[in-house]
Amino acid sequence: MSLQRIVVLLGKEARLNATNVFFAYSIAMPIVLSLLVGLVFGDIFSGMPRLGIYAEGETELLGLLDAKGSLQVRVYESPDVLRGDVRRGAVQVGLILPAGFDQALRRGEVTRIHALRWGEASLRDLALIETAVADVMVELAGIPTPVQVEAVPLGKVQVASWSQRFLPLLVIMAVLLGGLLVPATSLITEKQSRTLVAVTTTPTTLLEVYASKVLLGLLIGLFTGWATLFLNNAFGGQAALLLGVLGLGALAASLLGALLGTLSKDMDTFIAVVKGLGLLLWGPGILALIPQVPEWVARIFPTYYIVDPVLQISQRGAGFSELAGELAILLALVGTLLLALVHIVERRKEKMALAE
Amino acid sequence: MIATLIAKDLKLYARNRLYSFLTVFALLAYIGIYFLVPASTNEELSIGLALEVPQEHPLVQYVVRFMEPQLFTSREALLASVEEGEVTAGLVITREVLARLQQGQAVNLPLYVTPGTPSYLQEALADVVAVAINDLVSPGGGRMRLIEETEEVLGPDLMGASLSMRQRLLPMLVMFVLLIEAFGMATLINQEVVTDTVRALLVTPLRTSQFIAGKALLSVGLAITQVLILLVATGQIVTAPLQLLVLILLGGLFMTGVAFLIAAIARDYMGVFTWGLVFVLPMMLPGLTVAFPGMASAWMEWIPSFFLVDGLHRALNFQVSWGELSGNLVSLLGISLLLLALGGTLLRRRFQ
Amino acid sequence: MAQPAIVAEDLTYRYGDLTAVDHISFQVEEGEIIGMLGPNGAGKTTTVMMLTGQIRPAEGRARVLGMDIVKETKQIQRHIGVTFETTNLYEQLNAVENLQLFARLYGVRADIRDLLEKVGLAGREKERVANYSKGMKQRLMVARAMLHNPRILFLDEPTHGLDPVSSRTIHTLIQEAAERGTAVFLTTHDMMEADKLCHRVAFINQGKIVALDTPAALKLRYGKRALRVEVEAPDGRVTTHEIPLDGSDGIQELAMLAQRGRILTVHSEEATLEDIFIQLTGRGLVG
Ligand SMILES: Nc1ncnc2c1ncn2[C@@H]1O[C@H](COP(=O)(O)OP(=O)(O)OP(=O)(O)O)[C@@H](O)[C@H]1O
Ligand SMILES: [Mg+2]
Repeated sequence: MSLQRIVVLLGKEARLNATNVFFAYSIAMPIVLSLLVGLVFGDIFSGMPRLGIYAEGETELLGLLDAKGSLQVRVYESPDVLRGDVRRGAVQVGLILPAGFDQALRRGEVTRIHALRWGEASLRDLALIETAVADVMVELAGIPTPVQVEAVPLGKVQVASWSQRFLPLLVIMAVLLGGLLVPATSLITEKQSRTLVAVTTTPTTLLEVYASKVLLGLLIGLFTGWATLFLNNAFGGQAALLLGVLGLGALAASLLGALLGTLSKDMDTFIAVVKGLGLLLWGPGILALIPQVPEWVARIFPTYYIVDPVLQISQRGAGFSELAGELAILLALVGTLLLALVHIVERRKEKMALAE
Repeated sequence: MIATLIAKDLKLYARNRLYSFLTVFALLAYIGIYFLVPASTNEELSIGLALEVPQEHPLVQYVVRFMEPQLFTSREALLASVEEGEVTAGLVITREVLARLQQGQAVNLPLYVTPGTPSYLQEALADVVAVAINDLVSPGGGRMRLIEETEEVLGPDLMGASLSMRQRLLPMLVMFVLLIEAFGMATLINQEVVTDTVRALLVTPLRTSQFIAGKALLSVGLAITQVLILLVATGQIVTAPLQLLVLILLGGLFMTGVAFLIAAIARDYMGVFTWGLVFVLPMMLPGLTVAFPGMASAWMEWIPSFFLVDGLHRALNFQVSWGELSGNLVSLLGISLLLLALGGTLLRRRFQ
Repeated sequence: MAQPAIVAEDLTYRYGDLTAVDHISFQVEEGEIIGMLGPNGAGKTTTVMMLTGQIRPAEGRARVLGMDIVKETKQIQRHIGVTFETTNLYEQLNAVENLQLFARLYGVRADIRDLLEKVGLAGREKERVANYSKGMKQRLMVARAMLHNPRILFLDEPTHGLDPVSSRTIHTLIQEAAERGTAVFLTTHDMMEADKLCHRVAFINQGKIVALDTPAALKLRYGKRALRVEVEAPDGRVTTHEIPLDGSDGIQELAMLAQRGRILTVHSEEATLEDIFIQLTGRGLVG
């Protein structure tokens, strides 16, 4: 094994695979999925109401509204732009505040404001915007508010939102597909175009070729895993430990990809095998969507030992000692895959030698 | 001759397992997403009220009138209901609270909310209750008396009965189907160039224009079929069948123009992918802004696909007249013809 | 008799600054097989592309079957069959589907089964072309070109990479076509093939035709008319002697040699096409 040759090969792999659909796919997919889940179950879907304001003069209202966590406030420089944004629904309500608004309010004078309403806005959003504005105006006018109301969420402290429930599945898909697709598909294409033979008739050994492919898969899996966590605001805890665990997971995925790529006759077989493995791989992610299923069921699946430590570290700030058990299993998994791969590669090599 | 070409292309499409799988899968996924997304408007916010004081009390009467709460007989029943999510938030008015209010003392009221309520909504609900009660008890006598508000409605007025997420999503899904199809068509044409089969075709009596026409017909046909399947499966075709058909036809033309342009510029498969992204991603934006208007902004209305998405949105969701739609149709037709002419010319030149 | 199948006058093509085909003129008769020989990059493929209407000549003109190659491309293409240097079949379709597609494009009803039989693909015709070997693909391309009984065949290295049996199959097809009156325009790097098959061959180098004649005439022109005789002297020494044929006393010289010892071999010293190729296109000649 020569490290230098592996690096050279890695460069070649990265360049060649940049034109591989699956390369683009494995990088784009987790990002697209994260955005999709974020869109469908995240803030935008939960529908925080949006208010646009154009003030002709200075007003403290803007600052007070901004401090509120119950709506998005956008400030406009011109009433026409505001009007356009209300028309297309970028904000549901637009307020045009006259100059001297604050002073008039404080003096208790009747003040005129012009409100623009988006025709498609829902009653709920309108009501929420209206109360928020009213609350702030009362404060600004200096009217005493003897009653303070504080929201108290009931039930178990942590109830996972849908985006949190999707996170395990996303992490599995990102790390697994990211790590698995590129080594597998590049091995299959090399097999079909017989370039593998061309490389291994040089001093390069088959093992080095595999090492470079596995390394590339590892890097991609690591990146997609990190990107998924990052995009879901879930990259937290001990960064080094988290990256380490993600890396181990990506390595497992990459090794699996190399195995599948070696064993699959062609692309169709490979796709069929991945589909067949489906439940085994995605299991923990799918189970996380169904909170009624007891947690131990998820432990049956090997990928649990990738995703659970990742989430333990990032979500609950777990340290190495708490995860030692799970990480040991993950290491064993990687070791098994590695041994299996080396074994198969050695057998392939014999076959190739015989064929010569 | 063109029919022969189309038959061949369809056969090739069907043989490309990955592609046909993706097409069917995507279509099913879109239909699935459509039905997964709630059909109702934003869930109603409901507030529950448990009283430990007589209901005749003026404050209670006011709260009941203002917030139209669901009444509970006991604090326990209310809390259970909130925890189950049957009501979004629950308020308990005790004797003590009432007494303090009457003496003009400050009160801190807890508002119980359903677990999992987003924090902005928790704050908003607390605001609603606080504003309502303060309005009544405050010596200043209500905030709204200070403000004279003139209201102006922009866009079709739905009077608060806003569109459901499903209705907002559909135009975007249609757009996605079309753009993905543009990708596929560009790939198909590019494949003929890369494998050089186009040369074999063009040394027969087949003309370049016929070759291009064949691709165009196939592409428009495939696009229309897929969109129709989507619209029929979601049952939305009935809202405005004729207008939708015209829009889909124009959409198919538009998409074909985009595909030609991509195929003409791209050298190889990777080129199709890259240029596809360059063209297709921005084209998706107007679709996104219909589904999520918070993203909308003025410049996006300059993206050509806007006319299609906007037209679809209005035809599907607002029962607009042909007159109101005509602007979209004319612009879309113009852009489509322009794209087709440009893409077609560039393609022709590549084949010479 | 009828007009010639191909008449080319000063045909020229440029890729940017590079003149790939440089004012070439020639004529091909019906039923004639003409071979284009020349080193890589000489302009053979480019010539075929111009004659088949794939590219427009920069200068000069050519008539194919009496029609102008620029103005009447589509009419010409009805009557010509073309194979390409690199295979360009629909790999996801099988052989029958490939041929059916082109039969429809030519608007003919071809006996596809018979044709596949002739090119030796019968039995494999339902398999995807992607699974074919190189030679099988090559034969299918030739079949595709002959589908509509064209009046001219343009074959760009049709036997490149084929085994001798496959080559012979294609040679037979070409000869049969020529006997039916089809003109065949063939490019090849196989000198034996050109010698055996072609009525006339053209040597093309750097875009110019440097020689064009029947193989026999070329051999005469570029070869030496001489006999090479090997003689074994009684002491076992072998000597080689050259006897010019144009001198009047050739036979006498041979008789003298026979007396001196045992004649082992007698060879005519005529040039092979390969010798001529090297002579005509080697560095010495051009430059
Ligand atoms: N598409 C192209 N762009 C630029 N130059 C080209 C192109 N195609 C061919 N050429 C050049 O034109 C010249 C003639 O090429 P052509 O393919 O006709 O040669 P050829 O005689 O068929 O060679 P070979 O025996 O290798 O097939 C060469 O110098 C080649 O580099
Ligand atoms: Mg050539």
